[in-house]
Amino acid sequence: MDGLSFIDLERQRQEDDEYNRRQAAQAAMVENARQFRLMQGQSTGQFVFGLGSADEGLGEYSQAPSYQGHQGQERKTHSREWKYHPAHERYYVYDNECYLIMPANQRKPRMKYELTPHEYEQIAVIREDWAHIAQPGRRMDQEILSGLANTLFGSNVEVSFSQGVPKFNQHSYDRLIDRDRMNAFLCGILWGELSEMLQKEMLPKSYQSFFHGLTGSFETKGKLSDALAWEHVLSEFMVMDYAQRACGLPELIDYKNILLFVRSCGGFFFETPSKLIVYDYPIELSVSSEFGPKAVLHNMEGPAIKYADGSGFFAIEGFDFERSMIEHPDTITVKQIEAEENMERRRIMTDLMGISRYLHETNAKVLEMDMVRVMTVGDDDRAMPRALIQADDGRLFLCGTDGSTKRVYYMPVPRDVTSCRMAHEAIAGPVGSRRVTLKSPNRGWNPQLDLGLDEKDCIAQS
Amino acid sequence: MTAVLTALQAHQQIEEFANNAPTEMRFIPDGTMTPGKWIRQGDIYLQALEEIPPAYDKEIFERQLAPGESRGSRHVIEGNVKLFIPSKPGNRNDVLVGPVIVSKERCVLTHPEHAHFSLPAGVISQVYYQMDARQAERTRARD
Repeated sequence: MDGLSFIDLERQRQEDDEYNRRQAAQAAMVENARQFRLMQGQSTGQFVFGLGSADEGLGEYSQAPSYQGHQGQERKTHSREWKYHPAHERYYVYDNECYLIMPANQRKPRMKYELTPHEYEQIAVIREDWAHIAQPGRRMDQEILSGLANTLFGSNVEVSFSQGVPKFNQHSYDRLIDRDRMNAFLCGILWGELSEMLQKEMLPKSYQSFFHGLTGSFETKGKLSDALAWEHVLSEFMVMDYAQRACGLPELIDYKNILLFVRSCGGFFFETPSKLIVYDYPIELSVSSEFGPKAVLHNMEGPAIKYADGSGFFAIEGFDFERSMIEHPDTITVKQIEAEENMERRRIMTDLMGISRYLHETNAKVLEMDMVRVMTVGDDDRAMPRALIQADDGRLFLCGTDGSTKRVYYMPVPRDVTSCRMAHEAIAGPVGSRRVTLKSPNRGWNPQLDLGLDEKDCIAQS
Repeated sequence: MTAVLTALQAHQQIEEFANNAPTEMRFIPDGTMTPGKWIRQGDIYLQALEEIPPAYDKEIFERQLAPGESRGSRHVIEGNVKLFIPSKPGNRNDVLVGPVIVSKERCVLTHPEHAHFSLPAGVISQVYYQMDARQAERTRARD
């Protein structure tokens, strides 16, 4: 059907409204951050701080005007980036989670800070303490939170409390993003203070390497943040807390108030610039460590995070899903699955729908099935089956497995492939990647089909 | 064979293999990963090159090869290796989107779920799984 249907228009309008509300909330957050810093008499352009990953959208937050030390510089990359800012005579390092400031003459990878035996012992103590924050069962203290909100955000901000996450903010993953973003807002204030203190050499030089070690992907942070499992930004508070309690970092401005606020509620966000919603801890939390080294939100039958008012966050294997998909998988449609671009989410949705129903509803046919060896070098002759499957509308899928995980994937492939091998080559690397092998082409690059790597050159798969 | 198989039967055969898939480390013997040869771990592909492409002149220290925080992106190269990317984005080869890995001794490609790889020394480029035909079309449109 050409054009948008009424339902599409209505959905688009709702998404626009949602977007506008989120923009307003973010603007409020930024304005509050600015006012807070002005209130404290601090300058706003001498430090830099960014939190979060591009995947989680938190990179946007790090562009907030209050944190303008890195404005205009490249972001959204997970490679460690070094950027020289002539005005500040500083190098800025982007390393997955944090921007750090390095003196211009110190363009080297950060040093690893060696913890003392006492500091090592305290890791377990602080970890256990903060692990409780990520667990359900506690109740927020409205009296304490009201007072803290006035202190941190100003007396003109109206504070409302909710047992769960209000409808405004219920759009599954966005909610967690807001939660992280708001935590990042408070966290940024702390790190801003710290960065300034380091820059102004108000702290011993040892703190520089100490924090560079803690905020990087070094052992200490890993040991600490494992406690928080699915939490994101909260781990930054834990590192700050650890630094202060275990390693004797001098207290920063409002350090105690900020940490107490974060620890006293399940999350918060600005519904309007002057209305702060603070919500309670969840009453149930379902996480699983079966899917990787770190626990992820996972519940196949209900909410992974459940709040007292019945609201909840639905996730499987750490991926968010709409409530209806998990509670009523019979409502999942082929169209929804086809619209999903993430292969892991697509696999889970197909599993939820039921593979037999999926294949039946797509009237799928097997065009070809063959075997491909797991390793073509050595004497390992194990081979894995795969199939080229065609849906009734002509779309083609390569059905196969990784060769080492227990998963079966349906990977969309161009309609002009005619074999499993061609299908794999079409998805093996970006378009035209065969051109990379300038000195070892087994056959010419086919501009019509844009094949990827030549399967003949495949040595092993997993 | 394919004429008598239904899609569901094909799926079941593939699923049966997947349930018993070999998880041990894939050891790639010296001298076998010659230029042009490649391996796949999940959605990333590592292909041997003869030399470092000229544009790849900037060393990076990140060892995770795929961007992202999810467990699926934890393809990490371990060992005495150096990674390079183009210093000028404009020089980046439009198809070789990942870093180039240079190792003078054997290194290991790890992942929390996929089987690890023990790789011989050499120059290796990284390319990504091409998502689907629509993405391919978008890529063409950008080019």
